[in-house]
Amino acid sequence: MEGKTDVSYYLIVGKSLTQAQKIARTLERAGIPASVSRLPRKLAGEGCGFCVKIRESAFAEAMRVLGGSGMTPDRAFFMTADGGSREVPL
Amino acid sequence: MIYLDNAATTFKKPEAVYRAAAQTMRSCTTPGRGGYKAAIRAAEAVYSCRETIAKLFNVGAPERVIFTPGATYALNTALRSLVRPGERVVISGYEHNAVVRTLHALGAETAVASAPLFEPDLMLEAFGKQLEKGVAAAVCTHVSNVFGYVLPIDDIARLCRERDIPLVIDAAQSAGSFDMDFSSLGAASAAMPGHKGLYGPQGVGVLLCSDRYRFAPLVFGGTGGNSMPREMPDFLPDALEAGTQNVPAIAGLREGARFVSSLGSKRILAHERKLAALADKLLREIPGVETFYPKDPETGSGIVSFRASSCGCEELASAMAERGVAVRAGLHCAPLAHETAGTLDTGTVRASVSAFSSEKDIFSMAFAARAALKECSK
Repeated sequence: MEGKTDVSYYLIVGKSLTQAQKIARTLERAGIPASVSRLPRKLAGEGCGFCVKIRESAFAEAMRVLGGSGMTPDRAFFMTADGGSREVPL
Repeated sequence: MIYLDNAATTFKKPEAVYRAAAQTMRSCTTPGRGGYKAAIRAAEAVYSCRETIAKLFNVGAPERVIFTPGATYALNTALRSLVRPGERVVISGYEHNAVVRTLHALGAETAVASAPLFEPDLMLEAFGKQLEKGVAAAVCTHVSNVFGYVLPIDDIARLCRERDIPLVIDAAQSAGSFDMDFSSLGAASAAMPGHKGLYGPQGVGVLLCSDRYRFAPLVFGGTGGNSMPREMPDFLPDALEAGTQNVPAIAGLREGARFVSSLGSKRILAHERKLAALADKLLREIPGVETFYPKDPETGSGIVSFRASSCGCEELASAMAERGVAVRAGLHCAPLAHETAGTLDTGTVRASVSAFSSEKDIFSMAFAARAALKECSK
Protein backbone atom coordinates (compact mmCIF):
# COMPACT_ATOMS: atom_id res chain seq x y z
CA MET A 1 0.00 0.00 0.00
CA GLU A 2 2.91 2.35 0.67
CA GLY A 3 4.83 3.91 -2.18
CA LYS A 4 3.71 5.23 -5.51
CA THR A 5 0.39 4.27 -7.03
CA ASP A 6 -1.55 5.38 -10.03
CA VAL A 7 -4.22 7.18 -8.06
CA SER A 8 -4.84 8.98 -4.80
CA TYR A 9 -7.01 7.41 -2.13
CA TYR A 10 -8.04 7.73 1.49
CA LEU A 11 -7.23 5.56 4.47
CA ILE A 12 -9.76 5.53 7.28
CA VAL A 13 -8.18 4.29 10.48
CA GLY A 14 -10.00 2.05 12.96
CA LYS A 15 -8.82 1.74 16.55
CA SER A 16 -8.73 -2.03 16.09
CA LEU A 17 -8.92 -4.64 13.36
CA THR A 18 -12.54 -5.30 14.34
CA GLN A 19 -13.46 -1.64 14.07
CA ALA A 20 -11.76 -1.40 10.69
CA GLN A 21 -13.77 -4.41 9.57
CA LYS A 22 -16.95 -2.85 10.89
CA ILE A 23 -16.20 0.35 8.98
CA ALA A 24 -15.50 -1.60 5.79
CA ARG A 25 -18.70 -3.64 6.15
CA THR A 26 -20.77 -0.51 6.75
CA LEU A 27 -19.32 1.18 3.67
CA GLU A 28 -19.72 -1.87 1.47
CA ARG A 29 -23.35 -2.20 2.49
CA ALA A 30 -23.78 1.41 1.41
CA GLY A 31 -22.27 0.58 -1.96
CA ILE A 32 -18.83 2.07 -1.31
CA PRO A 33 -15.99 -0.32 -2.17
CA ALA A 34 -13.69 -0.64 0.87
CA SER A 35 -10.89 -2.96 1.83
CA VAL A 36 -9.20 -3.57 5.18
CA SER A 37 -5.44 -3.53 5.37
CA ARG A 38 -2.67 -2.83 7.81
CA LEU A 39 -1.80 0.78 8.36
CA PRO A 40 1.54 1.94 6.88
CA ARG A 41 4.14 1.97 9.64
CA LYS A 42 4.83 5.68 9.33
CA LEU A 43 1.18 6.44 10.08
CA ALA A 44 0.75 3.98 12.93
CA GLY A 45 1.50 6.08 15.98
CA GLU A 46 0.73 3.44 18.63
CA GLY A 47 2.34 0.53 16.85
CA CYS A 48 0.56 -1.64 14.36
CA GLY A 49 -2.83 -0.49 13.17
CA PHE A 50 -5.59 -1.22 10.71
CA CYS A 51 -7.30 0.91 8.13
CA VAL A 52 -9.86 0.90 5.38
CA LYS A 53 -8.85 1.97 1.90
CA ILE A 54 -11.39 3.81 -0.21
CA ARG A 55 -11.14 5.71 -3.44
CA GLU A 56 -10.65 9.47 -3.29
CA SER A 57 -14.06 10.34 -4.74
CA ALA A 58 -15.91 8.26 -2.12
CA PHE A 59 -14.49 9.94 0.99
CA ALA A 60 -17.21 12.52 1.61
CA GLU A 61 -19.97 9.97 1.11
CA ALA A 62 -18.10 7.48 3.31
CA MET A 63 -17.92 9.98 6.16
CA ARG A 64 -21.61 10.69 5.78
CA VAL A 65 -22.46 6.97 5.90
CA LEU A 66 -20.26 6.36 8.93
CA GLY A 67 -21.68 9.38 10.73
CA GLY A 68 -25.18 8.13 10.02
CA SER A 69 -24.26 4.78 11.53
CA GLY A 70 -22.88 6.38 14.67
CA MET A 71 -19.33 5.34 13.87
CA THR A 72 -16.36 7.57 14.52
CA PRO A 73 -13.10 6.53 12.86
CA ASP A 74 -9.91 7.19 14.81
CA ARG A 75 -8.17 9.12 12.05
CA ALA A 76 -8.12 9.48 8.26
CA PHE A 77 -5.33 10.13 5.78
CA PHE A 78 -5.26 11.33 2.21
CA MET A 79 -2.68 9.32 0.33
CA THR A 80 -1.28 10.91 -2.79
CA ALA A 81 -0.26 9.08 -5.92
CA ASP A 82 3.40 9.94 -5.33
CA GLY A 83 3.43 8.15 -1.96
CA GLY A 84 2.82 11.17 0.25
CA SER A 85 0.26 11.32 3.03
CA ARG A 86 -1.68 14.01 4.82
CA GLU A 87 -3.92 13.61 7.86
CA VAL A 88 -7.45 14.78 7.30
CA PRO A 89 -9.28 16.46 10.18
CA LEU A 90 -12.43 14.57 11.12
CA MET B 1 -23.10 -45.23 19.39
CA ILE B 2 -26.38 -43.76 20.60
CA TYR B 3 -25.12 -40.37 21.71
CA LEU B 4 -27.15 -38.69 24.42
CA ASP B 5 -24.52 -36.56 26.12
CA ASN B 6 -25.22 -33.44 24.12
CA ALA B 7 -25.30 -31.28 27.23
CA ALA B 8 -21.57 -31.98 27.49
CA THR B 9 -20.82 -31.53 23.79
CA THR B 10 -23.00 -31.90 20.75
CA PHE B 11 -21.16 -34.68 18.93
CA LYS B 12 -22.83 -34.56 15.55
CA LYS B 13 -22.40 -31.19 13.85
CA PRO B 14 -23.84 -29.77 10.65
CA GLU B 15 -21.63 -30.72 7.68
CA ALA B 16 -20.84 -27.05 7.09
CA VAL B 17 -19.12 -26.93 10.50
CA TYR B 18 -16.68 -29.72 9.64
CA ARG B 19 -16.02 -28.16 6.25
CA ALA B 20 -15.43 -24.66 7.61
CA ALA B 21 -13.04 -25.82 10.34
CA ALA B 22 -11.00 -27.95 7.94
CA GLN B 23 -10.99 -25.37 5.17
CA THR B 24 -9.90 -22.66 7.59
CA MET B 25 -6.95 -24.74 8.75
CA ARG B 26 -5.85 -25.05 5.14
CA SER B 27 -6.44 -21.47 4.02
CA CYS B 28 -6.23 -19.12 7.01
CA THR B 29 -3.56 -18.02 9.43
CA THR B 30 -4.28 -15.51 12.22
CA PRO B 31 -6.22 -12.23 12.04
CA GLY B 32 -4.28 -9.02 12.39
CA ARG B 33 -0.86 -10.56 12.00
CA GLY B 34 -0.26 -9.53 8.43
CA GLY B 35 -1.64 -7.91 5.32
CA TYR B 36 -1.33 -11.09 3.26
CA LYS B 37 -4.34 -13.01 2.00
CA ALA B 38 -4.30 -15.87 4.52
CA ALA B 39 -4.37 -13.39 7.43
CA ILE B 40 -7.10 -11.34 5.77
CA ARG B 41 -9.19 -14.47 5.20
CA ALA B 42 -8.72 -15.34 8.88
CA ALA B 43 -9.87 -11.87 9.90
CA GLU B 44 -12.91 -12.23 7.68
CA ALA B 45 -13.74 -15.63 9.21
CA VAL B 46 -13.58 -14.21 12.72
CA TYR B 47 -15.49 -11.04 11.96
CA SER B 48 -18.27 -12.85 10.12
CA CYS B 49 -18.70 -15.10 13.16
CA ARG B 50 -18.90 -12.04 15.41
CA GLU B 51 -21.62 -10.64 13.18
CA THR B 52 -23.54 -13.92 13.11
CA ILE B 53 -23.45 -14.29 16.91
CA ALA B 54 -24.30 -10.60 17.45
CA LYS B 55 -27.36 -10.98 15.24
CA LEU B 56 -28.45 -14.30 16.77
CA PHE B 57 -28.48 -12.84 20.29
CA ASN B 58 -29.25 -9.23 19.39
CA VAL B 59 -26.05 -7.93 20.94
CA GLY B 60 -26.12 -4.67 19.04
CA ALA B 61 -22.47 -4.48 18.04
CA PRO B 62 -20.17 -7.24 16.81
CA GLU B 63 -17.23 -5.91 18.85
CA ARG B 64 -19.12 -6.84 22.01
CA VAL B 65 -18.97 -10.50 21.00
CA ILE B 66 -15.77 -11.81 22.59
CA PHE B 67 -14.21 -15.12 21.63
CA THR B 68 -12.72 -17.14 24.47
CA PRO B 69 -11.40 -20.69 24.73
CA GLY B 70 -14.72 -21.76 26.27
CA ALA B 71 -17.67 -20.84 28.48
CA THR B 72 -15.68 -21.37 31.68
CA TYR B 73 -13.10 -18.86 30.53
CA ALA B 74 -15.89 -16.46 29.56
CA LEU B 75 -17.52 -16.77 33.00
CA ASN B 76 -14.16 -16.23 34.70
CA THR B 77 -13.63 -13.08 32.65
CA ALA B 78 -17.05 -11.70 33.51
CA LEU B 79 -16.88 -12.50 37.21
CA ARG B 80 -13.34 -11.26 37.66
CA SER B 81 -14.35 -8.03 35.94
CA LEU B 82 -17.44 -7.38 38.04
CA VAL B 83 -16.63 -8.80 41.49
CA ARG B 84 -13.94 -7.83 44.01
CA PRO B 85 -12.85 -9.98 46.97
CA GLY B 86 -15.32 -9.79 49.83
CA GLU B 87 -18.17 -8.47 47.71
CA ARG B 88 -21.56 -10.12 47.86
CA VAL B 89 -22.82 -12.04 44.84
CA VAL B 90 -26.22 -13.68 44.49
CA ILE B 91 -26.29 -16.94 42.55
CA SER B 92 -29.01 -19.46 41.80
CA GLY B 93 -28.95 -22.82 43.54
CA TYR B 94 -28.31 -24.49 40.19
CA GLU B 95 -24.94 -23.03 39.28
CA HIS B 96 -22.08 -24.98 37.73
CA ASN B 97 -18.61 -25.07 39.28
CA ALA B 98 -17.51 -22.64 36.57
CA VAL B 99 -19.40 -20.07 38.64
CA VAL B 100 -19.13 -21.50 42.17
CA ARG B 101 -15.40 -22.17 42.12
CA THR B 102 -14.59 -18.90 40.41
CA LEU B 103 -16.44 -16.90 43.06
CA HIS B 104 -14.81 -18.96 45.80
CA ALA B 105 -11.37 -18.29 44.34
CA LEU B 106 -12.23 -14.59 44.14
CA GLY B 107 -13.08 -14.54 47.82
CA ALA B 108 -16.59 -13.33 47.11
CA GLU B 109 -19.37 -13.71 49.63
CA THR B 110 -21.88 -15.95 47.89
CA ALA B 111 -25.60 -15.85 48.68
CA VAL B 112 -27.59 -18.68 47.14
CA ALA B 113 -31.09 -18.04 45.82
CA SER B 114 -32.45 -21.48 46.47
CA ALA B 115 -35.78 -22.97 45.43
CA PRO B 116 -37.02 -26.46 44.52
CA LEU B 117 -36.62 -27.88 41.05
CA PHE B 118 -39.02 -26.69 38.35
CA GLU B 119 -40.51 -23.97 40.54
CA PRO B 120 -39.66 -20.77 38.66
CA ASP B 121 -41.96 -18.58 40.75
CA LEU B 122 -40.19 -19.65 43.94
CA MET B 123 -36.82 -19.09 42.30
CA LEU B 124 -37.82 -15.58 41.33
CA GLU B 125 -39.01 -14.96 44.89
CA ALA B 126 -35.67 -16.24 46.23
CA PHE B 127 -33.75 -13.88 43.95
CA GLY B 128 -36.05 -11.05 44.95
CA LYS B 129 -35.18 -11.55 48.63
CA GLN B 130 -31.43 -11.72 48.01
CA LEU B 131 -31.00 -8.91 45.50
CA GLU B 132 -30.65 -6.15 48.03
CA LYS B 133 -28.54 -3.00 48.15
CA GLY B 134 -24.82 -3.67 48.20
CA VAL B 135 -24.92 -6.77 46.01
CA ALA B 136 -22.07 -6.53 43.51
CA ALA B 137 -23.52 -8.92 40.94
CA ALA B 138 -25.99 -11.71 40.31
CA VAL B 139 -25.24 -14.88 38.41
CA CYS B 140 -27.87 -17.17 36.99
CA THR B 141 -27.74 -20.17 34.74
CA HIS B 142 -30.44 -20.00 32.09
CA VAL B 143 -30.84 -23.79 32.03
CA SER B 144 -29.52 -26.21 34.64
CA ASN B 145 -26.90 -28.50 33.12
CA VAL B 146 -28.03 -31.31 35.43
CA PHE B 147 -31.81 -31.16 35.24
CA GLY B 148 -32.58 -29.11 32.16
CA TYR B 149 -34.58 -26.81 34.40
CA VAL B 150 -35.29 -23.47 32.71
CA LEU B 151 -34.81 -20.68 35.22
CA PRO B 152 -36.96 -17.54 34.87
CA ILE B 153 -34.13 -15.53 33.36
CA ASP B 154 -36.33 -12.77 31.89
CA ASP B 155 -37.83 -11.97 35.29
CA ILE B 156 -34.52 -12.28 37.12
CA ALA B 157 -32.97 -9.92 34.56
CA ARG B 158 -35.85 -7.48 35.13
CA LEU B 159 -35.23 -7.55 38.90
CA CYS B 160 -31.54 -6.88 38.32
CA ARG B 161 -32.32 -3.98 35.99
CA GLU B 162 -34.73 -2.45 38.49
CA ARG B 163 -32.12 -2.72 41.26
CA ASP B 164 -29.18 -1.78 39.05
CA ILE B 165 -27.29 -4.99 39.79
CA PRO B 166 -25.15 -6.42 37.00
CA LEU B 167 -26.36 -9.84 35.90
CA VAL B 168 -24.10 -12.52 34.46
CA ILE B 169 -25.99 -15.20 32.55
CA ASP B 170 -24.54 -18.66 32.18
CA ALA B 171 -26.06 -19.65 28.86
CA ALA B 172 -24.01 -22.84 28.53
CA GLN B 173 -27.06 -25.06 28.14
CA SER B 174 -29.46 -22.61 26.56
CA ALA B 175 -27.50 -20.92 23.77
CA GLY B 176 -28.87 -22.20 20.49
CA SER B 177 -31.93 -23.93 21.95
CA PHE B 178 -33.50 -20.81 23.41
CA ASP B 179 -34.09 -17.40 21.94
CA MET B 180 -32.11 -14.87 23.91
CA ASP B 181 -32.34 -11.14 23.29
CA PHE B 182 -29.23 -9.90 25.07
CA SER B 183 -29.98 -6.20 24.56
CA SER B 184 -33.51 -6.47 25.95
CA LEU B 185 -32.39 -8.51 28.95
CA GLY B 186 -30.00 -5.72 29.90
CA ALA B 187 -27.57 -8.20 31.45
CA ALA B 188 -23.94 -7.26 32.01
CA SER B 189 -22.78 -10.34 30.17
CA ALA B 190 -23.69 -13.79 28.95
CA ALA B 191 -21.27 -16.69 28.61
CA MET B 192 -21.69 -19.65 26.32
CA PRO B 193 -19.66 -22.47 24.81
CA GLY B 194 -19.33 -22.87 21.07
CA HIS B 195 -19.48 -26.65 21.14
CA LYS B 196 -22.91 -27.33 22.65
CA GLY B 197 -26.15 -25.88 21.32
CA LEU B 198 -24.33 -23.67 18.84
CA TYR B 199 -22.86 -26.78 17.18
CA GLY B 200 -19.32 -25.45 16.79
CA PRO B 201 -16.10 -27.31 17.59
CA GLN B 202 -14.56 -27.47 21.04
CA GLY B 203 -12.03 -24.77 21.86
CA VAL B 204 -14.15 -21.68 21.40
CA GLY B 205 -16.58 -19.93 23.72
CA VAL B 206 -18.33 -16.60 23.64
CA LEU B 207 -18.75 -13.77 26.09
CA LEU B 208 -21.41 -11.21 25.21
CA CYS B 209 -20.61 -7.90 26.88
CA SER B 210 -22.87 -4.97 27.67
CA ASP B 211 -21.47 -1.51 26.96
CA ARG B 212 -22.55 -0.43 30.47
CA TYR B 213 -19.74 -2.27 32.24
CA ARG B 214 -15.98 -2.46 31.97
CA PHE B 215 -14.42 -5.85 31.44
CA ALA B 216 -10.87 -6.74 32.38
CA PRO B 217 -8.66 -9.30 30.67
CA LEU B 218 -7.74 -12.61 32.30
CA VAL B 219 -4.59 -12.85 30.23
CA PHE B 220 -2.38 -10.24 28.65
CA GLY B 221 -0.45 -10.16 25.41
CA GLY B 222 -0.48 -9.25 21.75
CA THR B 223 -3.64 -8.23 19.97
CA GLY B 224 -2.21 -7.54 16.52
CA GLY B 225 -2.65 -3.78 16.86
CA ASN B 226 -1.73 -0.82 19.08
CA SER B 227 1.44 -2.57 20.05
CA MET B 228 3.35 0.30 21.65
CA PRO B 229 1.57 0.74 25.01
CA ARG B 230 2.45 -1.66 27.82
CA GLU B 231 -1.20 -1.73 28.79
CA MET B 232 -3.81 -3.84 27.06
CA PRO B 233 -6.20 -1.86 24.84
CA ASP B 234 -9.23 -0.65 26.77
CA PHE B 235 -11.72 -1.28 23.97
CA LEU B 236 -13.53 -4.44 22.91
CA PRO B 237 -12.87 -6.97 21.62
CA ASP B 238 -9.11 -6.41 21.81
CA ALA B 239 -9.14 -5.83 25.58
CA LEU B 240 -10.23 -9.44 26.14
CA GLU B 241 -8.65 -11.27 23.23
CA ALA B 242 -4.89 -11.44 23.77
CA GLY B 243 -2.95 -14.06 21.87
CA THR B 244 -3.68 -16.22 18.87
CA GLN B 245 -7.31 -17.07 18.32
CA ASN B 246 -8.69 -20.49 17.48
CA VAL B 247 -9.69 -19.49 13.98
CA PRO B 248 -10.76 -22.95 12.73
CA ALA B 249 -13.07 -23.34 15.74
CA ILE B 250 -14.46 -19.83 15.26
CA ALA B 251 -15.13 -20.54 11.57
CA GLY B 252 -16.89 -23.75 12.58
CA LEU B 253 -18.87 -21.90 15.21
CA ARG B 254 -20.04 -19.41 12.59
CA GLU B 255 -21.50 -22.27 10.56
CA GLY B 256 -23.04 -23.81 13.67
CA ALA B 257 -24.67 -20.51 14.57
CA ARG B 258 -25.92 -20.13 11.01
CA PHE B 259 -27.42 -23.63 11.29
CA VAL B 260 -29.23 -22.57 14.47
CA SER B 261 -30.41 -19.36 12.82
CA SER B 262 -31.73 -21.18 9.77
CA LEU B 263 -33.53 -23.85 11.78
CA GLY B 264 -34.67 -21.48 14.50
CA SER B 265 -34.17 -21.97 18.24
CA LYS B 266 -37.91 -22.47 18.78
CA ARG B 267 -37.99 -25.40 16.40
CA ILE B 268 -34.87 -26.93 17.93
CA LEU B 269 -36.27 -26.56 21.44
CA ALA B 270 -39.62 -28.09 20.45
CA HIS B 271 -37.81 -31.10 19.02
CA GLU B 272 -35.61 -31.47 22.09
CA ARG B 273 -38.52 -31.12 24.49
CA LYS B 274 -40.50 -33.74 22.61
CA LEU B 275 -37.63 -36.21 22.89
CA ALA B 276 -37.01 -35.39 26.55
CA ALA B 277 -40.69 -35.98 27.34
CA LEU B 278 -40.49 -39.34 25.61
CA ALA B 279 -37.34 -40.22 27.56
CA ASP B 280 -39.06 -39.28 30.81
CA LYS B 281 -42.08 -41.44 29.97
CA LEU B 282 -40.04 -44.49 28.97
CA LEU B 283 -37.66 -44.24 31.92
CA ARG B 284 -40.49 -43.86 34.42
CA GLU B 285 -41.96 -47.13 33.18
CA ILE B 286 -38.87 -48.96 34.42
CA PRO B 287 -39.38 -50.21 37.98
CA GLY B 288 -37.18 -48.43 40.52
CA VAL B 289 -36.29 -45.51 38.23
CA GLU B 290 -36.91 -41.96 39.36
CA THR B 291 -36.79 -39.20 36.76
CA PHE B 292 -36.43 -35.48 37.28
CA TYR B 293 -38.67 -33.87 34.74
CA PRO B 294 -41.15 -31.01 35.05
CA LYS B 295 -44.94 -31.22 34.93
CA ASP B 296 -44.91 -27.99 32.96
CA PRO B 297 -42.83 -28.65 29.84
CA GLU B 298 -42.04 -24.94 29.59
CA THR B 299 -39.71 -25.29 32.58
CA GLY B 300 -37.80 -28.16 30.97
CA SER B 301 -35.47 -28.54 28.01
CA GLY B 302 -33.66 -31.37 26.26
CA ILE B 303 -32.17 -32.88 29.41
CA VAL B 304 -33.58 -35.66 31.59
CA SER B 305 -31.81 -36.69 34.77
CA PHE B 306 -32.69 -39.96 36.44
CA ARG B 307 -31.51 -42.40 39.08
CA ALA B 308 -32.32 -45.95 40.09
CA SER B 309 -32.89 -47.30 43.56
CA SER B 310 -31.06 -50.55 42.80
CA CYS B 311 -27.98 -49.27 41.01
CA GLY B 312 -25.48 -46.44 41.43
CA CYS B 313 -25.52 -43.81 38.71
CA GLU B 314 -21.93 -44.47 37.59
CA GLU B 315 -22.56 -48.23 37.41
CA LEU B 316 -25.77 -47.67 35.49
CA ALA B 317 -24.15 -45.31 32.99
CA SER B 318 -21.22 -47.71 32.53
CA ALA B 319 -23.59 -50.60 31.89
CA MET B 320 -25.46 -48.44 29.37
CA ALA B 321 -22.17 -47.51 27.70
CA GLU B 322 -21.44 -51.23 27.27
CA ARG B 323 -24.70 -51.35 25.34
CA GLY B 324 -23.60 -48.53 23.10
CA VAL B 325 -25.43 -45.67 24.79
CA ALA B 326 -23.48 -42.55 25.81
CA VAL B 327 -24.94 -40.72 28.82
CA ARG B 328 -23.27 -38.88 31.66
CA ALA B 329 -23.36 -39.86 35.32
CA GLY B 330 -22.31 -38.27 38.59
CA LEU B 331 -22.53 -34.70 39.79
CA HIS B 332 -21.99 -33.09 36.37
CA CYS B 333 -19.59 -30.50 37.87
CA ALA B 334 -22.58 -28.96 39.61
CA PRO B 335 -22.71 -30.18 43.23
CA LEU B 336 -24.68 -27.09 44.21
CA ALA B 337 -27.48 -28.07 41.81
CA HIS B 338 -27.57 -31.56 43.28
CA GLU B 339 -27.58 -30.15 46.79
CA THR B 340 -30.51 -27.89 45.91
CA ALA B 341 -32.44 -30.72 44.27
CA GLY B 342 -31.64 -33.25 46.99
CA THR B 343 -29.60 -35.61 44.81
CA LEU B 344 -26.13 -34.86 46.15
CA ASP B 345 -25.74 -38.27 47.83
CA THR B 346 -26.59 -40.30 44.73
CA GLY B 347 -25.88 -38.09 41.74
CA THR B 348 -27.89 -38.79 38.61
CA VAL B 349 -27.60 -40.19 35.13
CA ARG B 350 -28.22 -37.52 32.53
CA ALA B 351 -29.54 -38.05 29.03
CA SER B 352 -29.42 -35.00 26.81
CA VAL B 353 -30.48 -34.56 23.21
CA SER B 354 -29.68 -32.25 20.32
CA ALA B 355 -31.27 -31.22 17.05
CA PHE B 356 -29.80 -34.40 15.55
CA SER B 357 -31.26 -36.81 18.13
CA SER B 358 -34.17 -39.03 17.16
CA GLU B 359 -36.99 -40.95 18.80
CA LYS B 360 -35.10 -44.13 17.93
CA ASP B 361 -32.20 -42.88 20.06
CA ILE B 362 -34.55 -42.43 22.99
CA PHE B 363 -36.10 -45.89 22.63
CA SER B 364 -32.60 -47.41 22.42
CA MET B 365 -31.52 -45.49 25.51
CA ALA B 366 -34.54 -46.63 27.53
CA PHE B 367 -34.06 -50.21 26.35
CA ALA B 368 -30.39 -50.08 27.40
CA ALA B 369 -31.30 -48.59 30.78
CA ARG B 370 -33.81 -51.36 31.40
CA ALA B 371 -31.32 -54.08 30.42
CA ALA B 372 -28.50 -52.46 32.39
CA LEU B 373 -30.65 -52.27 35.49
CA LYS B 374 -31.56 -55.93 35.23
CA GLU B 375 -27.88 -56.77 35.17
CA CYS B 376 -27.02 -54.27 37.87
CA SER B 377 -29.71 -55.60 40.20
CA LYS B 378 -28.48 -59.22 40.01
